[in-house]
Amino acid sequence: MRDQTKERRARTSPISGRPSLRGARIWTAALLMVGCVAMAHASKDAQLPDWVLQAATDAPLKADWRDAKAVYLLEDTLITVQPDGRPVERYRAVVRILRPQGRDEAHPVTWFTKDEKLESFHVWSIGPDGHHYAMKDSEYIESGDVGAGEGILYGDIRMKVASPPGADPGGVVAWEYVKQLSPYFAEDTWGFQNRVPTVRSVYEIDLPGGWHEEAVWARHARVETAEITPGHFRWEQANIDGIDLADVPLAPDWEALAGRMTVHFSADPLPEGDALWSKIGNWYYTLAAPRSEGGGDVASTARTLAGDGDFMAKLAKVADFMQQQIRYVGIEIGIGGWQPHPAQDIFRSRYGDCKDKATLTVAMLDAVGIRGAWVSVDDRRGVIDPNAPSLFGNHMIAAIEIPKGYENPRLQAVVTTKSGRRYLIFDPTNPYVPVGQLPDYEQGSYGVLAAGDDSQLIQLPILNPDAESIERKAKFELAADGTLKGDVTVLRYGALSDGMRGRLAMDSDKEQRELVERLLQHDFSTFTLGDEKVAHVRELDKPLEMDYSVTAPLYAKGAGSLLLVRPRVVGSDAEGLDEKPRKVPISFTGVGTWRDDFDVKIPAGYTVDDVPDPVSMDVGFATYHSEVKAEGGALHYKREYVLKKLELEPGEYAKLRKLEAAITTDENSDAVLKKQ
Amino acid sequence: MVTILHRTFLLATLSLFAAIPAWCAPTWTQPTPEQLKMTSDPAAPDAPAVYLFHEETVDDNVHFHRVYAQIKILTEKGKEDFSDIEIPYEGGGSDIKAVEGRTIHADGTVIPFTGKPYSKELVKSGDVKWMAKVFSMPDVQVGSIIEYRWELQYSDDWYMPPRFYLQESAFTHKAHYHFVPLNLATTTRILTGKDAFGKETVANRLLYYSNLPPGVKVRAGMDGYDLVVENVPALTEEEFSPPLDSYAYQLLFYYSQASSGVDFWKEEGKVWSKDVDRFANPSDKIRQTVAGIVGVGDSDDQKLRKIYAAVMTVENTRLTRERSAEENKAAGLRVKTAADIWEQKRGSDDEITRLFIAMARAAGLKAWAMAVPERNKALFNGGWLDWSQLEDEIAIVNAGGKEVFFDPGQRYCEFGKLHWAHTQMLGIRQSDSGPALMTTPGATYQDNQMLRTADLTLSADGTLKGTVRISMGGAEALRWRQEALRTDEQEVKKDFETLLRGQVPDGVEIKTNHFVGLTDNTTALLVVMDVNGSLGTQTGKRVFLPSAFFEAREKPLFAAGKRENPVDMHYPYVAQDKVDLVLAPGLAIESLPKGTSIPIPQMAIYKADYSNAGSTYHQERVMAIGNTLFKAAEYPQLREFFQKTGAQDQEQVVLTRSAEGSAAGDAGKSE
Repeated sequence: MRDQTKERRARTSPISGRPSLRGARIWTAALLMVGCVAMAHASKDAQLPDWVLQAATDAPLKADWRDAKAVYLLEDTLITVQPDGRPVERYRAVVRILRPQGRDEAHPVTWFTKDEKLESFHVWSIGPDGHHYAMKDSEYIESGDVGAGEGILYGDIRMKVASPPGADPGGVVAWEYVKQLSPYFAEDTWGFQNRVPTVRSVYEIDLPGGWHEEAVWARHARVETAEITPGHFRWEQANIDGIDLADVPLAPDWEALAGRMTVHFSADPLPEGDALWSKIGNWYYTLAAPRSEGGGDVASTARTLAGDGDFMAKLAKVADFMQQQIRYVGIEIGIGGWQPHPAQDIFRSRYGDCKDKATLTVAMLDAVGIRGAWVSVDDRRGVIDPNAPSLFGNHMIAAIEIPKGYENPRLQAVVTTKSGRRYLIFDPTNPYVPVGQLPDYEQGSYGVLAAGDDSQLIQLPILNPDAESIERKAKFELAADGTLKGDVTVLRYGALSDGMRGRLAMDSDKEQRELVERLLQHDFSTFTLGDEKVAHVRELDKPLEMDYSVTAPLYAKGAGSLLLVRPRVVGSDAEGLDEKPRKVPISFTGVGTWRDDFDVKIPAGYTVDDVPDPVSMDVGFATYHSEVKAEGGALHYKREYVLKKLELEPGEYAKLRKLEAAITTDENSDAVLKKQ
Repeated sequence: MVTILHRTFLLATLSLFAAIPAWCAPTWTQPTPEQLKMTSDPAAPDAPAVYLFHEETVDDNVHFHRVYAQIKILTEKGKEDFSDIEIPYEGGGSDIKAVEGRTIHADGTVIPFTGKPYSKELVKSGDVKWMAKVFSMPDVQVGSIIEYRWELQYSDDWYMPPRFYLQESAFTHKAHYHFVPLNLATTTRILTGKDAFGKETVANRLLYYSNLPPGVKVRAGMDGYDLVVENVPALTEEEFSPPLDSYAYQLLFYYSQASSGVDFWKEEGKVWSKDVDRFANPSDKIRQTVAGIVGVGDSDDQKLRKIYAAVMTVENTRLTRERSAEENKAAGLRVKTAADIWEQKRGSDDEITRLFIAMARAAGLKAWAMAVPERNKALFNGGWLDWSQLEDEIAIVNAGGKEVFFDPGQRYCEFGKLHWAHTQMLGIRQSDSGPALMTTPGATYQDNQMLRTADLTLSADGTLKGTVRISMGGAEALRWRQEALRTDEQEVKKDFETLLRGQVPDGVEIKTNHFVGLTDNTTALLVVMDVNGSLGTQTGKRVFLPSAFFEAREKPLFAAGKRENPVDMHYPYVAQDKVDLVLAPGLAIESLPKGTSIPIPQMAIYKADYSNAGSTYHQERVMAIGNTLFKAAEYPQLREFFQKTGAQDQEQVVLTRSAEGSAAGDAGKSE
């Protein structure tokens, strides 16, 4: 949700946590709803506030913003913290639309909940022809259908949106809202960077007498705080470039790049750095821990499930129950956006959201003598910045304390905290990554461990590329007419099997077959899928196995007395890159190892005349080795691609492009058979 | 006496909702041991879940709609899709009450629903509020049977004849639908509503439309209308399907003033026609305008071309941004007649169509409007008496004694052509003898032509340079021109590059240089692109080039081996490719693919030819699809056609290198 709009990004949102494109859908739905009803009323010669007129008539834009779709002329936020600690926000924005697509940036919107009361919402606009418009309350649309379709059954987040008149290229849209912010959080975030450029962004906070503030900066150098009057602090920035990641291959999440400042406020002195992270973790621990006191049913079921095995055996049983038996359903009201439901309720109904699942995990493990805790994370790698302590995050997972001295090769996603305790990081919301490992989208990220006195910021591990692999093995026979026939086995290990397990688990037999057919469509122009079988979709301790037979007429192409055969028969590891100068870091989905081993028996009467050259590359962050051999009347194709890093600096793009070009060429290369 | 509104939106939403259910007796239905043990359903082998029983009972006299559902969960997907229930309703005059449910595990264990249904505000706009009641069934496992019921209670002032959509997202073993309508003979109330043009109508009879499984009939009795269906298949979604909802089994009730379908369409058609004629009145202003556009001696065709060209300059707000009446008012504009549209130079699609009709009439031509649905959304159903299904308007003009169809509401649609979604569509037209049913003409492959040429040069080190020109007319040209209206030329350039990059060989970089005719529908749309990058793969002795430059990375349509629905290819077309590739000295053609012709008689043809003249490789390819609609039985033939043509497009050109070429090639190798 937060990555879709500036306003939302700057707020702390509920932890509902199933990695998804939820935000995109919500935003789209809101816009559709706006489109469903009569468009805005306009009043001729409407009086526009001075700040709107001033922003709209400001100086010309920077020359290198000429391609921008729209530009924020002004963003102005004022937070007034009341003596009881409750903040009230007044937000103003003025956007100029520069291109037709820029209308998407000019949809005024604000979110509110039962605990975040919206006090006012106003929208104005200036058409390209200079007409001034002021919208009426009755012209706004409200929606509470936030999170629908992504497992949020009910949430109290509502939004108010408007579709203002005059929103055409050259037009200006402005809005202002005032709302009480959540009473639970003593922090607020200023997201001063947008997808489009921003001419001027101002943030002010007004604190009660004697209160303290501390500003932390993510992906931006600290800007000096100006104390305008006692307790009233101000920051301002100008000419901030937008971050447009549309069509950028392997781009990090936008939120992981955009600059932001979080300001903490308190009547008491505020800790800094690690101590502030620890405070945040402790706050969540206090909120969640009481909910993990499971009743008799929780404990007895946990004990029955876990049996008498060792730590790993007990853990595996409880983890399996959490992953397979507890359905993802989000019900979030007020503080319920952060605080889990009681473990007993989650257990009884057998459903809950991410924080509920983490809480029931903690409760059940506690019943069998294993200590668990919570880790607040963001499934968009890089969004949580270690330099900027805050509640930022959209997902909750579990940390399970490993007994001193206990070792087990299955324990891979392990973090050692400053206290020397070892924790296994486990995501019970993901039903397809086995306990001991970690989903790709969480690896390498930061998270806040909420574990009482051990609360702190931790970095989640990046697993060994060997632990996550895809192996394709196949034996084919080629006929003289070019028909290829053979059997293929694909094994997926570890977190690399996550996505495919998820697809297959939801598919019927027919749909599974259609999925394999769609995959083969990338490798064969004409083919018939024979027997096809999928195994161990939900048996996470075994590799996901896919076996099928395929017949592909016209696979080898005749060229006079020659027959051209592509030895890399199925599967592709190549990434599509562009030729543009790289400005942002490169972000891979996950590390891993991909291996292919194919034999193609050549038809009688043919010999191998020519094979592609072997490829061997080591670029530091990855290695690629590929070879085609002709032996025993067959072509043998073998390759191994190992990706060792999750992120690269922009400067390494040229190296990556060279690697990808070599992989692409290798994948498309032909061997030549000659008729004897 | 009370004025009654027909809550159309609500009923449509209720009946379309995936987790729809029905009423039941006060006690739960005990599942049979077989149902409890069931792990798959032979009647629906791939189903994620099946409705064992589904019942809906509506009584418009006591204002309730009861729903009951008994669903067997067969897979994880079934668990995911059917465990959460969301019941939409209109707030302010109706509410969902008496929500009850239970989950029964395969071993017979019963888990009652003791949770709380939540009321969720979906959308609130002015006085209108759309709500939903949501709840989640407890402890649902694969193998469970879930059972729930609820009742929609609506205001005494509302009457809501039901629309029963019998086909769900899951197979239904048995369903029972019952409707007790308002007793129109004895009621003291008057039912009023508004037709599609805002005219108030008084309903005095109940009608229904049904599309039922073979052998099934609606029973009408003193107790109301009753329908029992068994073994109703689920709706299956497949790519390139026609609008399946139009074919689905359904039973739709409504109060109406029409005594029959014929009367309804006649009467509604008259109202619509009157509205068209009022708006498209060739007023003095319009006549004056037309007089300035057409010449005195112009033929009908010449007049129409000039008028059409003038209308094409009007901003189509469907493609840019719709303005409200208030916004127009603030700008001093009004939208009452075609003359207003011309004056303000902007209007909606239908308003522009009517402007064209008005101008054609002003030029002395006979011109009519025709109302049609869009083929990508729905087909016209004459048995369902609801004008709103006719979404768009097109124009028909008698030119030189021949009726010609126009689509001026689709800005940049070519003269005398229709947008593909308006072709081959049954609709209602104006005519001299009043409103009449008619089917719009289809397109031919000549209406949608594309010519792609590439002039390329390949260096010995594999570097490629050249120019691509793509000329198109018809549906594709319209698509790109309209995209430029929705966005801008810069965005279209980028999108065109993205499209082409997915088609040309790996390593080829392509950049849009410029468009010709992006805003001129009287000529073909030409795209000129610059080509750079590299081409081909190599072994020790040879270099291999993709034979079909424009199809090198295209994948054949239709991966699935089996198909249940017909195929709608949207429009027929012909695409022709001509590629010239000049090879560097040191590279020689060792082998070319054999030319071929692959036909589907009367439906499609593919031809490919490969040749060389000296050091220039030349490829020609033609793909023509003559049909738009294919029956499911024709799918294997269609799939085979695309697979064979796809395989042909993957043929390679084999080059050999001299010593000079080898040295240059090695220089380009990766490390």
